[in-house]
Amino acid sequence: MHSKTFSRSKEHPQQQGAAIILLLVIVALITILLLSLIVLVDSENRSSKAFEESIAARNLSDYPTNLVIAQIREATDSDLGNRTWASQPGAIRTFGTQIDPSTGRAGLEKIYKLYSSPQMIEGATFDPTSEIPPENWTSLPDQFTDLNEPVLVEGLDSPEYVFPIIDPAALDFGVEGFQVEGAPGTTERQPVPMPTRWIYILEDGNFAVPDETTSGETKTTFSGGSAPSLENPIVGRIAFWTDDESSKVNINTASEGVVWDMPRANSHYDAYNFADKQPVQNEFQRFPGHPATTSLSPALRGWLGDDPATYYQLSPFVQNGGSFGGTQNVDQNTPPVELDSDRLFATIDEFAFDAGKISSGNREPSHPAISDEFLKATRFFLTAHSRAPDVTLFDTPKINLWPIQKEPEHRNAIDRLQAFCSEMRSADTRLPYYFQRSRVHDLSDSTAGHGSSQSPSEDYAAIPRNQELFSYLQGLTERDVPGFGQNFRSKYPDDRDQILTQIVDYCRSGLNTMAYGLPTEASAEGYVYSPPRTPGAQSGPLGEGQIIPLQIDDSRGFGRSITITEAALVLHPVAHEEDPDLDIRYPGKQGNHPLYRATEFKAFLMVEFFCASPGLPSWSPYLNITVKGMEKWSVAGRSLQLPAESTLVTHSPIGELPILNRVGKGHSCAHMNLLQPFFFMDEDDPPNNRRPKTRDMESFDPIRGYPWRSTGPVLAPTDVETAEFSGGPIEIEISSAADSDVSQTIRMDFPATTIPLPYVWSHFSNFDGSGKPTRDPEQVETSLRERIRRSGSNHWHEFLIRPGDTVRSMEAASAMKEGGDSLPGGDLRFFAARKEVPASWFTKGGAEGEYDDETRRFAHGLRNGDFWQYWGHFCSEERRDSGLDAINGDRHGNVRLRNPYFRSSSWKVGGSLLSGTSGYSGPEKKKLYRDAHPVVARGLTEALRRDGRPGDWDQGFGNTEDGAFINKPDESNASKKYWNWGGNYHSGGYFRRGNFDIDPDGNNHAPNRQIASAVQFGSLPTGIYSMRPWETLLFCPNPAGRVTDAGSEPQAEDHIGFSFPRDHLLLDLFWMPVTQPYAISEPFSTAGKVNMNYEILPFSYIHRRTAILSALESVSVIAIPEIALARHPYGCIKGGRDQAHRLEVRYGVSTDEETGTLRGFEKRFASGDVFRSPSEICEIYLVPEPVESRNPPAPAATPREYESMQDWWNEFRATGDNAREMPYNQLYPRLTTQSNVYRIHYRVQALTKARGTQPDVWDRELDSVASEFRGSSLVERYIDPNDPEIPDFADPATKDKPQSLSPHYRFRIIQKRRFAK
Amino acid sequence: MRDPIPNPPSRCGLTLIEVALSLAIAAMVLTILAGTLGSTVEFAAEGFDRFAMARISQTLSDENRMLDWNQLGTEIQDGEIFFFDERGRRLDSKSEEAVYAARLRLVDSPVLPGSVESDHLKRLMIEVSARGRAEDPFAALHPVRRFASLYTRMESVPSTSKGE
Repeated sequence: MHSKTFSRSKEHPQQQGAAIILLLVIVALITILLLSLIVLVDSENRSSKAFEESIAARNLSDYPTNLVIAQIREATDSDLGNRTWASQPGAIRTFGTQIDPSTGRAGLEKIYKLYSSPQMIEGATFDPTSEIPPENWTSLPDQFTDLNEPVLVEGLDSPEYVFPIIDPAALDFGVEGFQVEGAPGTTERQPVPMPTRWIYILEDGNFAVPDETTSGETKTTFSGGSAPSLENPIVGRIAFWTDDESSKVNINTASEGVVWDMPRANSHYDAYNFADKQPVQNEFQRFPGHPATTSLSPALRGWLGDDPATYYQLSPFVQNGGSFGGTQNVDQNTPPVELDSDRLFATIDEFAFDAGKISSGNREPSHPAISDEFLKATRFFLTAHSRAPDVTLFDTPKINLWPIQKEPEHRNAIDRLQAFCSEMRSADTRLPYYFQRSRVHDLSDSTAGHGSSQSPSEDYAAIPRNQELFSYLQGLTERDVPGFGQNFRSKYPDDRDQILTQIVDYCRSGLNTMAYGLPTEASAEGYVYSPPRTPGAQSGPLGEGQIIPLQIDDSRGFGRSITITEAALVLHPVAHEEDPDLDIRYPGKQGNHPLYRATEFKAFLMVEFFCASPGLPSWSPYLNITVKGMEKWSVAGRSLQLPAESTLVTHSPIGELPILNRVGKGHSCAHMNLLQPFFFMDEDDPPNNRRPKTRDMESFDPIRGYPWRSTGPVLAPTDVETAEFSGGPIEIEISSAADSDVSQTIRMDFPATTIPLPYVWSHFSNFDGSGKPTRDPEQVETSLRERIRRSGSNHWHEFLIRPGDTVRSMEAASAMKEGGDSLPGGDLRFFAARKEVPASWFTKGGAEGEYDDETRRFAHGLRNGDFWQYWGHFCSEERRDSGLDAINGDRHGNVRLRNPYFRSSSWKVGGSLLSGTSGYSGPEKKKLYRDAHPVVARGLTEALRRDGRPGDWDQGFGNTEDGAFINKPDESNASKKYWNWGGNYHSGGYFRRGNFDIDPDGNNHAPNRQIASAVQFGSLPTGIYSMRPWETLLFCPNPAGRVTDAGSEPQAEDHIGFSFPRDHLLLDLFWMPVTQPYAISEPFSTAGKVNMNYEILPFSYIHRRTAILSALESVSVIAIPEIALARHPYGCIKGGRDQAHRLEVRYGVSTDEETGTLRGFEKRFASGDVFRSPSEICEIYLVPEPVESRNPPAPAATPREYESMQDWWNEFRATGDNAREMPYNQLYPRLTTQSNVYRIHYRVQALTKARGTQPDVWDRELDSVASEFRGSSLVERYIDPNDPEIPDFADPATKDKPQSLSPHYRFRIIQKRRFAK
Repeated sequence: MRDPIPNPPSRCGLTLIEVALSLAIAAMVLTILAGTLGSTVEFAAEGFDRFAMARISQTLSDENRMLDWNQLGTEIQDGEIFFFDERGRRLDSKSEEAVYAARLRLVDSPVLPGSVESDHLKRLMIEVSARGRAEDPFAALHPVRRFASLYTRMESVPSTSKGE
C-alpha cells in the first residue's frame, strides 16, 4: 500500500506544485507582456523624443537664416539714401556721408556681422583682426564649433572625409587665388577650419552668449540679462557664417574671356587681333565688360586646362565660333555664333554633369576631367546664383545708358529687353529710367523724316520724362555721396549741368544710332536714329550719321556733328595784266620772268570743321551754315562784295565724294569735310544713281552754288603791292538742314591788317629762257570754277588755293589766356561744347606774326583731315615746306607730291600734345612722325591744364591721329575689309580715315559691344564753363597730370577728378543692362558680378581671390611710349598706311598680390577697410604684364610693380586718356561691392540640460546634445518692379523728399541644403 | 473485482501553502508590475504628448511662416488659442475631441548678441497644453510646453512703417 501510494506519488510528481508553476508561467507571461509594453512605450517615447528633438533642431535651423536675413535687411537700409553699404563674405558694412579728408571716403558707421558672434553689430571701432578665432579654439568646444568640420563617409572605394564648405583638395588642384595662411588650430585632417562662435538659444527664443572660458574647462557659464534660468532654460545653440555669392565665379554667366578692344594704335595686336578678328554677334566672351568675359579658368585650370573651347563647351549659351576666341579673321560673311541650347544651371552639380549624356543609368560628367573631387573642391569658388543690385549709392534706380525710342512700336527686341530692365511700374504707368528719343527714321517708310536726331531740343522738350530724369540726375548730384561724402554740385559749380548734358547726349547720339535688320512693330527692316546710310532713300543719304547736339538750357552736348575751328578769307585773282616790275617771290620761281598783277580779285570763305567724336560709323554733315557780317569787309577801302548773310547747305555724302577715293575720305576723322562745301547731291538725279557733283562756283544757290564769296569782282588798287584789309566781326550759325533751330553760333573778329594783294602765278615752264611768256597763266589761277574742276580726285591741295592768292584766317587759339580772357588752351572740345563760341577764342591764323606780315601771302592753318596727314595741307608757305622733308613720300620712300611747295606739313598746321615733340625742325621733329600730328589748335606745344600739368586727350581710333576727342562709342562691324595701302587689309574701317559699311542684317549689333559702362564718359570735359581745358572726367588712377606716387592717396592737384567726391562716383548713377544671351540683368540687378571685397570675415587667413582673378583674366592694358610716335625704331604707332606693325602696346594684367594689381586690393583690406563702390576700381593701378616680345622693355629704373606704377606710366606718356581708362571700362561693369545673394552655412544643436544641474551653466559632462542639424540656405534679396509701393524717384514733386529702394526689397530662400552623412 | 483505490483529493490538489505562496508571488509581481504599468502608461502618455505637441508646434510654426510679416500681428492675435485632437490635428473650435490646446504669443525681437534689437525679427512663442478640454488649458497648474520660433521680414517694408 505504501508502495502504491509511493508509486502513485511517483507517477504524478508534476501534479504537486503545478499551480505555482502555472501561476509563475502566467505571471511570467504577464511580466513579459508588461515588459514588452514598457519597452514599446520606451521605444515610442524615444521616438517621440527624437521627433521632438528633430523638430527642435529643424526649428533651430531657421534661426541662422532668419537672423542673417534680418541683419542684411537692417544693414542694407539706406536711411533714405543717406548711407550705403558694402558686403563681403561674412559681413556688411555701412557708411554715411561724413568724409575722412585723408582718404576721401566716409568712415565706417556700422558693421553687421553675418556670422555668429558675441556682438552681431559693431561700430566704427571694429577691428577685423580681433575677429580671428583663437589658436586654442579646439579646446573650447562650448564656445566654438568648426563649421567646416568634415564627416567621414563610406565611399565606394574607401572612407573619405567630406567637407561642407571648403574642401582642402582645392589647394592641391591649384585653384588660383586660394590660399590658407596661419589658420588657427589646424590638424592634418582639417587644414581649413572655420571656427565660429556658439550662440545659445533659450526656451523663449532669446539668445545667450556664454562667458569666456579657459581651455579644458567643462563648464560654461552665462551671466547678464540674457542668462538662462530655470524658467527659461537653454534649449539649443547655433553657429553660422554667411558667404557672399558674388565673391564666387558664376557658372551661368562666366565663360572664358578673350580680350577685344577697339583698335587704337598701329600695333600688331590692334590690327591683326582686334580689327581683323572682331567678335561677331553672340561672341559675348569678347564683348568688353560682358559677364561672359569673366573667366572660369582661374578656378578650373587645374582640371580643365587653358583651352577656351573647353569652357565654352561647359558654359550655358556661350559657344565657340565667329573669331574663335580671337584666332580667326572674320568678315561680313562670318555667321553669328550659334548659341547652344543649354539651360541655366541650378547648382554646381548640374554644371559638372552633362544633362544629355546618361550611361549605366548615371549622368556622365560634362568633361572627362570632371570628377567627384572636382565637385567637392570647386564648391567654394563657383556659384550658380550670384546677383548684385544695380542701384545708385543713394539707393535709387540707375539710369540705363541705352537710349530707347519713346514709341514702343519703334523698339526692337533688344530695346524692349533693355527697357524691361530699367522700368518700374506704378499702377498702369511705366516709369522708365532711361532716356528716350522722340522719333527715328523708319527704314520701311521712305517718306519718313530724319527723326529727332536733327533737332537740338526735341528729345528733351517733347519728352517730359527725359526732363524728369535730367532733373533726377541734378538732384542726385546735389546730394552728398553716401560712403564718400560731398557732392558734385559743389565740385563742379559751373559745369555740373554741362557735364550731365554731355553725358545724356553721349548716349543719345553715340549709341544705337542704327539698328539695321532688327525688326520692330513698325518696320521689318529696323530703324536708324540718325539719317540713314541706305542709298536711294527718298530723302537721299544726306547727313548720314549726323546727330545735332542736344541742348538743355544753356548746356550742350556733342552730338555727332561739327563745329568750326577756323575761317579763312581767300582772295584770289580773276583778271590780270603783265607787270614786269612786280617782283614777288613765289615758289618754284626760276629766272627773271615777269609776274602778272591781278587787276581784279574776288574773295571766298573756307571753314575748317572739327568733329569731337571721330570714329565709326563715318558720317556726313547735312547743315545750314549761315555766315553773317562779311559785307563789311573791305580791302583798300573797297568792299569785297561779300553777302551780308549767306547760307550754305552742306549737301553731299562725304563717303561718295570723288576725292582720294583710294585712301578714304576722312569722314570718320576730326578735321573732316573741308572740301564738302564744294560738292552737292543733285536731287534731280535718279535716286539710285546719285553721285555728288561739284558746285557751280558762279552760283549763289545754297545747295548747288557757293554763296560764301564775292558777288562781283573787286578792282585791285594799282601801283601797290599791299593794301589794308578792314577785318571785322562775323557770325556763323549752324543748324541742321532738316531743322531750323540754331544749334550753334560762332563769332570771330578778323583784325584789320595790311595784306599783300593777289597776283597771278604762272609756272616757270610757261616762260622761255629769256623770261618771255610762251603761254598765258593757266585758267585755274583766275577761275574758281576751274580750280574745283581741276582738283579732280586727288589734287585739292594743289588747286583750291594757289600761290598767288592771299589768305587770312582766324583759327582756334592755342593760348590759355589772352588779355583778360580765359581761352581753351587749344582744347578743341570747347569749341564743340559751347552753344555760343566767343570771338576771343580765335586768334590770327598762321604762324606767329604771319597775319600781320604784309610780305606773307598765307596766314592760316587750314587742316584737311580727309586725307592721310602725310599728304600735307593747303598752301601756307611760299616755298617748299621743310616739314614735308620728313614725310619721305610714299611707302617706298619717294617724294611723290607733284607740287610740294603748294602744301604745308602737318607740323605747320598742327600742334603737339606732348612737350618735346612739337618741333618743326631739329631733333624734336623726329619725335612726332608725319601722321602722328594730333588734332589740337595749331601751334600748341603741349596739352597743359590751367595749372600747367599735362592734361587729358584721346587716342584716335586705329591709326588716326590723337587729339581733343570725346571717346565716341564704337559702332563698327566686320562687314568689310579695307586695304590700307600698306599691303594690309583690315576689317572695320579702323585703319582707314573714312570707310564704313552698314551691317545690313544686324549681325554685329550688340548693345554691350557698343558700350560697357559709363567709364566711356571719361573723355567728356569737366571745365567747359569754368574754363579748365584738357580736363575730363577721370576714371583711372594714372592721369597724365598725376605726380603723387602710386603708393599714396592721389591729390586734387594731380587731377580735379581726384578731388572729392571723386569723379568715378558718377559711374554709379548709370548702368548698362546685359540682355544677351539671356536676361543676365533683371530690373535693377545683374548676375555674375564679382565682389571686389573678397576678404573673408572672420576667417581672414583664408584667401579667396579667385573670382577677382577671373574678372582680371581677360583685361588688357594699353600703354604707349613716346618713342612710338616717331618712325624709328618701331614704326609710328599712328603711322599711316605704310607703317609696319612692329610695336606692341597691349599688355595683360599682373595679378600678384605683392607687386601686381591685387596689391591695391590687399592694401585696402590691410587697413581694415573695404571698397564701398565698384567704381573704386578706377583708383587701383592695373599692373601691366607683357604678353608679347614686341612690347618695348620697361625702363630699368621703374620696375613694373604696383608701388612704382606712376613712374612707369610717366614713361608711357603717349597714352591717351581714353586708352588709360579703357581697361576700367572692361572691369567696372563686372564688379560690385554689394551682393543680393548669400549662402548661410550653419550648425545647430538641440540641447538637453540634465536634471538638477545649474540652469545658467552648461556642463558638457552632464548636459547633452540632443540632436544636430548642419546645412546651408541660399537667400536672395530682390525687388519687384511692379510693386505699387515703389515711388517714382524722378517725380519732380518728390525732389526735395529723398526716397530709397531698400524698404522695397524682398527676400526669398532659393535653396536649402542639408549637410549629413 | 475490486474497486480501484481513489486518490485522496487533498493529495492531488493545491495545498494551502502552495496557493498562498502562489498568490503571494502573484500579488507581489502584479503589484510591482501594476506600479510599473502606471508609470509606463504615464510614460506612454508623455510620449504621445511630446509627439503631438511637437507636431502642433511645427504645424503652427509652419503655418505662420506662410504669413506675411505684417499678418503676424493681424492674422495672428497675441494670446489666440487653437485646439487639437489626440493626434495633433487642428480642430475648428474647442470640442469634446479637443485634447491639446495651443496658444500663440507674439513677442518682439530677441535681443541680439551685443545687446541690439532688430526691427526685422519677431519671436512667436507657441505654448501647448495637454489639457485641451479644461476650462483654462493654460492655468498655472497645467503643464505647458513652450516652443519659440524666429521670424524675419521677407517682404518689402510698407511705406507707412518707414514714416514716409
